[in-house]
This record gives sequence, C-alpha cells and structure tokens, in this order.
Amino acid sequence: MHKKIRLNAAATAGLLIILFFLIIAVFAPVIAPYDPKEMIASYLPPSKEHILGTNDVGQDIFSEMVYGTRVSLYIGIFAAFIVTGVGTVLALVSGYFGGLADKIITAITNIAMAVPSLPLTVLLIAYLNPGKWSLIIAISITAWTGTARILRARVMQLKELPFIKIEKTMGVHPAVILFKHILPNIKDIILTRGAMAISGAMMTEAGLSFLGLGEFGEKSWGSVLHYAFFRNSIMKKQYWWYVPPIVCICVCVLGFMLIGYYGKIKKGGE
Amino acid sequence: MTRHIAQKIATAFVTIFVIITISFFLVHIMPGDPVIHLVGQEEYYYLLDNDPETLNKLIARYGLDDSLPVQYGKYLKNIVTMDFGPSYTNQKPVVSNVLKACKWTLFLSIPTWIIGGLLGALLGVIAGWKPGKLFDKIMTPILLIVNTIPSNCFCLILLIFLAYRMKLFPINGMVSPGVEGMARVQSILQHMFLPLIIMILYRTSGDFMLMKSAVSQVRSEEYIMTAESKGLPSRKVLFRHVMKNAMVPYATSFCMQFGGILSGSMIIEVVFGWKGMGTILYNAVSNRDFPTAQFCFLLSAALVVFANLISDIVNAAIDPRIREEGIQDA
Amino acid sequence: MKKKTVSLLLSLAMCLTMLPGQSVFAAETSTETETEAVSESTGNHVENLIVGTIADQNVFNSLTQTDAFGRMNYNGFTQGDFVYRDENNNLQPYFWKSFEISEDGKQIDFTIPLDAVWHDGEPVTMDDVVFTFEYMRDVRKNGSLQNLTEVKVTGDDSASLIFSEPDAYYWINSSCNNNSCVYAKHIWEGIDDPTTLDGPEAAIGCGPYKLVSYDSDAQVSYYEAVPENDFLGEITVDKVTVQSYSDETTLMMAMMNGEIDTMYNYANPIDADVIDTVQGTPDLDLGESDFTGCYQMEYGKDRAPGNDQAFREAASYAIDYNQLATTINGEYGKVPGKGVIPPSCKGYDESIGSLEFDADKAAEMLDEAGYKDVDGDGYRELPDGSQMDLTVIPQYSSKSMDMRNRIAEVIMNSLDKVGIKNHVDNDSLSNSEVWEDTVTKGNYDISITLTTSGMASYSTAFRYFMGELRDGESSWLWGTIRDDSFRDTYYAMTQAVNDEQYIENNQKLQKYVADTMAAEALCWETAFFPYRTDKYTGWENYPSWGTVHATTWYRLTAK
Repeated sequence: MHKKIRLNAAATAGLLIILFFLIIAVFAPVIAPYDPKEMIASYLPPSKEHILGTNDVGQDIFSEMVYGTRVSLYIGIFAAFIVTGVGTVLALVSGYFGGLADKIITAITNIAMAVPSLPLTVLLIAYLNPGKWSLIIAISITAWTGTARILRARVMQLKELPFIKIEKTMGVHPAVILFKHILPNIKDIILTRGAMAISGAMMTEAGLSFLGLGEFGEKSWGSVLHYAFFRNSIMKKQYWWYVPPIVCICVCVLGFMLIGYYGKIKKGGE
Repeated sequence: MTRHIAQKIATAFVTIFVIITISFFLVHIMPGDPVIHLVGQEEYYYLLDNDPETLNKLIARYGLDDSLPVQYGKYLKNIVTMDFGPSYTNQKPVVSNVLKACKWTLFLSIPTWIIGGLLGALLGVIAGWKPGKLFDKIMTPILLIVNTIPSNCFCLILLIFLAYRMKLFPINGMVSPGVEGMARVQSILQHMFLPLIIMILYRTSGDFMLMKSAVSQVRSEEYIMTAESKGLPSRKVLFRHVMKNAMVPYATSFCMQFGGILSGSMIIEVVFGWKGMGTILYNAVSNRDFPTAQFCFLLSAALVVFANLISDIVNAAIDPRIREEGIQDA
Repeated sequence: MKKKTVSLLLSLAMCLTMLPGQSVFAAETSTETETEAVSESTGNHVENLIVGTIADQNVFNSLTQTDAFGRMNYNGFTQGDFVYRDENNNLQPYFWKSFEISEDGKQIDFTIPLDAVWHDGEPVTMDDVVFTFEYMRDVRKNGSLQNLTEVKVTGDDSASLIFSEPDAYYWINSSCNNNSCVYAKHIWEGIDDPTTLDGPEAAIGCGPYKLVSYDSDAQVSYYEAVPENDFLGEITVDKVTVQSYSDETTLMMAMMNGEIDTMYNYANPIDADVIDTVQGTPDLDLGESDFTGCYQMEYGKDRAPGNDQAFREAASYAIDYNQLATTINGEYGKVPGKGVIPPSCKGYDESIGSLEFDADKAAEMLDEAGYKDVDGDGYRELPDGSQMDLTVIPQYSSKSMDMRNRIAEVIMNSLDKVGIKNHVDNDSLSNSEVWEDTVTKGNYDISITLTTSGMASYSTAFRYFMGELRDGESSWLWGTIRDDSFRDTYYAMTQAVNDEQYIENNQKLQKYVADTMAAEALCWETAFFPYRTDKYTGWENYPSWGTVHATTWYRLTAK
C-alpha cells in the first residue's frame, strides 16, 4: 500500500518556497538587521542601511518583514492544525460509526457551513481578548467544515472495503481499525487539506490584519500592509513599503497551495 | 424522491432555527452596553449625568432591560413579523437599511455568480477535456495564482495601477453625485467595474478548478467504460457522456455558490467603499449595532441554507442514483 | 452566451438606477418653483459651492448631530444658531440680532429678527424661541440650561433668559455649536424623542439654507439659499452641495481634480500624510492653522510609580517627542509645552517651558529617584525593590485606533529604552466598555487620550485629568488628579462670567499641570483644512475649523 512520495515540479516548487520562509522564520533574529520594534527615523527611503526603508514610526521595514514571517506562519500553521485536527476527528467518528453520531456531526457541519464565516470571525475578534490565539480560534471556527465533509465521504468509502469489513466482523477494536487502516489511507488527503488550510488561514489573517483587527504591536505581514495603507504609502508612492507584504503573502500562500493542489492531483491519479 | 426532498426541507428549517438561536445568544452574551452606541458616547455620558430617565426610556424602547428568555421570545416574534426595529446607528428600520445594502451587493454578486460560473465552466471543460495540453498548462497556473492572492492584496494591486496611477476608474464609492438617467447607469458601471472584475476572477478560477477536475476524472472513467462496451467511442458521443456526468457535481456547487451572494464580498466591499451587505455588517459589528448585525447574519445564513437545499433538490433531480433509489445524502 | 450575460448585466444596472433616480427626482419637483426666484442673483454670487466631507449622509434631522447634515449645522447652515464663534474664538450674534450677558452672569438679553422664515414657509416668531428653550430644558434636559428659570419676553423682538445661577456664560459657551438654535414649535412640539421624527420636516430649520434633496447612494445632498434668513447680510452663495467621501485620500483627490471647492470635517483636519501628497497642487491652499486640540497622556497617580512626582519628571524626559511629533503630525508637529494646551487656545501661558527629550537625563533622574535595576533583568524596579511593569492604555476609538496604537508604540518604545518595562492593556484596545471601565477606575499607569478642537475651545484638556467631579456629574472621570484645588479651579474656569476670569483660571491649571507633571501633551499640531482658490474669493480659514463656517455664506464671492 505504501508508496514513496514522488513529487512533481509544481509541488517541489511549493516545498522550496515553504522551506525558504521556514528558514527565514526560524533564523529571523540572525537575518533581520534590526530589532523590528526599534524606532530609528521615520520614512527613510531604501538605502544600504535599510534596504526596504523605514516606516511611519521609524522601524526598519525589512526587519519587520523578516519577523512578520514568524507571526504569519505561526498563525497559519496553528490555525490549520486546529482546522485539520477537528475536521479529521469529526470525519472519522461520523464516517466510521455512522448512526446518531453521524447525524449530529453532519447537522453541526451544516450549521457551521451556513454561518457567514468572515463576519463571524470579525465579531469574535471584536470580543475575544485580542492576541494571536484569539485570531487563530476565530479563523478556525468555521473553516473545518470542508475538510470534515471530504474526509467523511472517504472514510465511508473505505469502511466498505472487504478487508475492513472482515476485521470488523472479527471484532477488532474500532480504534485499531481507525488508526491502522483508515488513517493511513486518508493521510494524503489530510496532508493536502492541511496545506490548503494553512494557505486559507494565512489569507484570512492577512485580511483581518488589513482591516485592523490584528494584535497590538504584532508584526505580521498583514499588519505591515495595514499600516502602509493607513499611512498613505500608496499615494506617497512608497512602494518599498506596500509591495513587500503583498509579495510575501502571495508567494507564501502560493507555496502551500501548490503542495495542496498538485499533491492532490498526484493522489487522484493513482 | 419526494420523501428525500421533504426530509431535506425539514432539515433546512431546523438548521435555520438553530442559527437563529445561535445568532441571538452570540449577540446577547457578549459584554458591553449597547446604549452607548445607541445614543453616541458623548450623549450617553451627558444623559447619564443629567437625565438617567431618558436613558431608561431608551433601554425600554429597544427592549434591552428584559430578561434573556423574554428578549428571546420577542426576538422570535420579530423574526416572524420581519420587524427588527430601528438600527442603533441611524434610527431607520433595520430591515430597510439592510435590504437597501443587499441591493448593492447583488449588483456585484449576481453577475459574479453567473459570469464566473459560465466562464469557469467553459474554461474548465476545455482544460479538463485535454489535461496536460497547452491550454491546461497555461490556464491552470494562472488561475491557481489568482486563487492564492488574498482579496485585499488583489484589490490594492488593481487600485494602485488602474485607479491611482492611470486614473481609469474611481477609487471608491458607488456612484458620482449629480448624475441622472443613463449617465447614472454609466457612473455606477464605472464604479463597480474594479470590484466586479476582482470578484469574477476569483469565482472563475474557483469554478475552473472544479470543472476541470470533474471533467478530467469523468472523462477517463467514461472513456474506459464506453470503450469496453461499444468499442472506441466517437468524440461526440464521448463528449455528451462526459458532460452529462461532470455537470452533476458542477451544478450542485453552482447552486451552493448562490448561498454566498450576500456574504461573500466583505473585504472587497470595505476596500472599495461599496455600501453593501459586507460593509454594513462590518460597520454593525464594529459599532455594536445589534439589530443590524443580527439581521445581516440571519439573512446571509438563511440564504446559504436555502441554496444548499436547492442544490440538494437539483442533485436529486439530475443524479439518477438518488432519483431512482432515494437513498440518503451523498 | 456572453451576449446574454452582458445584456443581463446592463438590464440589472438599469433597474438599479431607476430606484434611487426616482426618489431624487420626486424630491426635486416639489422645490422647482422656488429655485427660479433665487436664480436671478447678482453678478458675483457663488452659484453652487461644493463642500466635501467624510461623515455619512443618511440622517437629516436638525436635532441630532450625527452625519454630515448634523455637523454642517455647526456652521449656521440650515439652522438659525443663536450665536457663532468668529475667527478669534469670540461669540458673535447670528440668529440673535444682538445679545448681552449681565455682569452677574445670570441674564442674557437678546433680540431676534422679525422677518425670518422656516423652510416650510411659516414665519419664525418669539413663540418658537420660548418653545425652544423650554423644550431644551424640559424635554431634552440640557444640563447647562437646568438653572434657567424663565424666558421673559420684553418686546416684539426682544426677550431675556433668566438663570438662578451664574450659568449664562457657561451655557452659551458650552453649547454654542451643539443644537443651540431656534426650533420650530409646529414641528417639534410634543415630540419627546427627536430621533423618531424621520420625515423631511425633521430637516426644517430657519437657517440661510434649506435641504432640497439628497441621494444617499451617491452620499450627496443639495441645498439652496433662503434669502429671507440673511442673518449676516446678503447671502452670496446661492446653492450648496455637500458630498461625502469614504476617507481623506479620496476627499483630497476629489479636491485636486476640482470636483469639490472646499472641505469640512468637524474637528478632524486632514492628516499630515495626506497633505504631503497634495502639496504643490496649483490653485489649492492647504488651509494651514495651529490646531487647538491635542493628544495627551496622563500618569496614573493612584498607584506607584505614577504617584511619585520624581518618577513622572524623569519619565517625561524619556519620551521621544520628536518621534511622536512625526508620528502624529509628520514634519509639522511641534514638541509641546508643559502646560498641555497649545498656543492657539484661549489663555495659553507662554511663560511655561517646553517638554524635552533626553534619555540620558531620564536614566540619571530615575537612578536618583531610586528606580534601579536591582535584579539585573534589564528593567528597573520600584524603589522598594518590587517589580515595575507599566500598563499603557490608549483611548478606544472605533474609527481612529491606528493612530492611537502608533502613539502608544512610540511611548512604550521610549520608556523601554530607559529600562522601564511596560505593556499595553490588550482588553481595552478592542472594547469601548472595557476601556471606559479601566480608565474610570484609574487602573492604568499611562493613559493616552485626545482632546478634540471642539472640547479645546472651552472645556479644555484639563477636563480629562480630573479624578473627582462636582456633585451630579459622573461622566468622563478618566483622570487621576484628586486635588480639590485643581477641581475648584477647573469649575471656576468653566463658570467664569467673563474672559478675564476664564483666562486667569485656565493659566492656573496650566501651571498646576506643568509643576506637578501630572499629565502632558504629546504633540502640538498644525491643522490642515485645504480649499481651492481658483473660482472664489473671500475664504476665511478659521483656526482648527477651516473655511466652512457661519460667515462663509455671506462673504464668499465668485471671481
């Protein structure tokens, strides 16, 4: 059953992109020339000392971007972890056991799908104590439904496979079947859905920070873009301020999306 | 099949009821004194000092002093009669405020739904019919990249180039002042162009991916099946077979997308100053305008439930397996 | 297929335009007849003045101050304001032909015009004036009118307001912009809650302009002159259009393109960032003036270390005022003086010195005062050796939180650099009630607040520093100065019966704050209210206010 993961060019590119950003995130203190909170001099254009200039309160934009990688990835990865985790557990329970559990979980999924997600997220952020984790929770709260639905359908298919049916009748404990047979079989879907979830969460984070709903003083790419926009960098043609966050967000999201999308194609082909 | 549909309708009603209840508690458990937003901060403190009685009158008028169950009962009654009272922010009836905003959102979302749906399907069929060929190789990466740009970034990119730099389009708003008749139509079209293009692009790329994978998958399956039974099929026959089967999942999701026509454009609306549902809901949440926020929530949610129901019915109508057997949901 | 969708789109667009289009048309036909009478105006009248603003245009109610309509009425626009503030912040008669406050501050004698009309054609009478005061006192419960005992009619066109306490000066100063105008008895009588009146009659006033129509989709409203209500002489601006924009950037782009002639946004000058992009546009005056409002911070004096004057003095040297000035007002910001209120305010005492940024001196002073890093973690401890971690809270605002957050960041960074550990109170950032509660209880070490230019014109920033109020008041208890002398001086200032008294007490307050370092201004700003100079002459740029005010309607002429 087990196959070596062969990656196509697109997925490899995605992996490289993510690796690149991960390295930046891990080694941020080494790479960033300044403390991103240090105020040097406002509105400096790009120069040797500040390759992306400085912002309205005199912070080095390049250092902001480097540290922003940490925050954006942190939020994206943890939100995706919750989304995928919740989705997987619900899908396993509802798909494998069926019956009442399935009915209840399906009902919850339907309700969660009907709630307008971005407005709910905005509302939650307005009331939760602001911070990374409330942002993560608000992003995750309705995002798990897609994963849950897809996995549930797959689990229901797998459940009908002969060898699982046999084990079932032999009285093998459900936990064993789930972990030994079902989970390995949906592992690839979980991974690709996880990659998609990260990109989704990062996009939501960018949107929320842009609306000014991010954490105080936190340097995420979205908040850098927020201040660039709010401080009128577009009219003042300070492209060194507003272009980098846009590029970083897009490229990083693309990286995860490539893995999610082309990883999936591969799977479908086999 | 009738039983299947009846069951779906019943589920939809229960779902809506649960959402109604959630939206009530969501808003009422939250901390904060809505009266401040009702009268404005300055006026609130002023009244608190000089005339607490008026404040109490206001609280009573908006029913904020009742116990939660009583408020819940009133709330259900109001939903049935479609009376959400006056908005906290401009004292006009919430329903008329929101419906007016709906109208503006629909100008963006209906064309998006239709054009995006058709364009996405068309391109998806071409790419999916011959996967790996030139068309697929060009379109797939382009549309995939479109899908990875967060909407606020996309808005800014187009704004910077087309509105700020080249001054081809207005930066913001919905219509220029002082124009009537055809000039007004033109002005609205001009204002809606950028947000509409962005929304259509997103929708097209999403629908493209959907259609492409449906077609390519069905095609490989069908090709084998038809080939086995009739020998190598003619292109025409194969095409008809494939389309018939690929259309089922596409039609279902096309119907489901209808559910998002009120709630799917918040960030784009906010960036472009388009006073539609997204903006009104965003403002209602930030100003704690409870009645408006609730009504917006309900309306969008009800629409999603309704669209899901329709897609279930459509699915049942066109998918032979459900049509004949009436088995449980897919 | 494509053709179909295009035509569908077009027909959709057609439908949408029919709706708002019709409503405007209906509103316009009703006023068509009177437009002609006005149009035969003399040569250099301004035909149509287009004013840009940022407030919404949904509510058109003369008794509320919301939206662009309510704010425009601060300028004697559609309403007959009793008085207006002139360029030098002095009160001048407007609807009142004349007025006089008695020496003891308990009586105002005034006269009214006999030829003014309401916009529905009814004449304005003394009955309306009497009704207005009783309505404001008894129904609207206007606090500054609570001691009004009588409106005594002394002649056809003259009457007196009689107060039981010396409140005349206080009332007229504290409420001269806010709804202090005559209201029509035939419209408002019997209406307890003015917000419930939603029809066109709610917009009726006796000001020089009446509302003709509005289009809330395009966020625009149209007004035309009512020649009878010529309170300051001949009305030279025949029509006015008020157009709203969603933000300052689009507003200024519209002005650069010549779509609007001037702008008005109460107490909100154009941001220095935006001004940088406007500079150098031909025929555009930046409308520069010294701003009377300011951002300020107060040390929480209910607990350590804010209760220690030595700490406050040291900390004031730690803050980078130049960075603050750049953040708040770009290159135009100035390092403020210790007396908080800017030079453009009435009573400013120039003998009080300026604040100063000197991190080394701050560190030295902190050492001297006993705030040393005992445990070697890089941050100073309190003199008793316990940990010190300041709580900073910026004032909540649903619209301009960005600026406040940036200001907080600068202050926090400055304190951090001299070894004062600090953090922002996250809970108050996103919730106005939590912020209000925290600041009222004095649970802060540094509180950042804003004095608007309206507040600065009379009540001043000192109002926000009070930790105790007089009986019967409980609002805006944000400060932690719990000192009877400060409080008494403040009330002596607001209840002053003349300017000398006001200034004397105001200067005492400046000195008090400067001596104790209880609070400090963060930046003295330059305000910008830009306007175009190519079409019209006679602009007068009022400090902190701009070119749209009560006299604009009578002095602006076409070139």
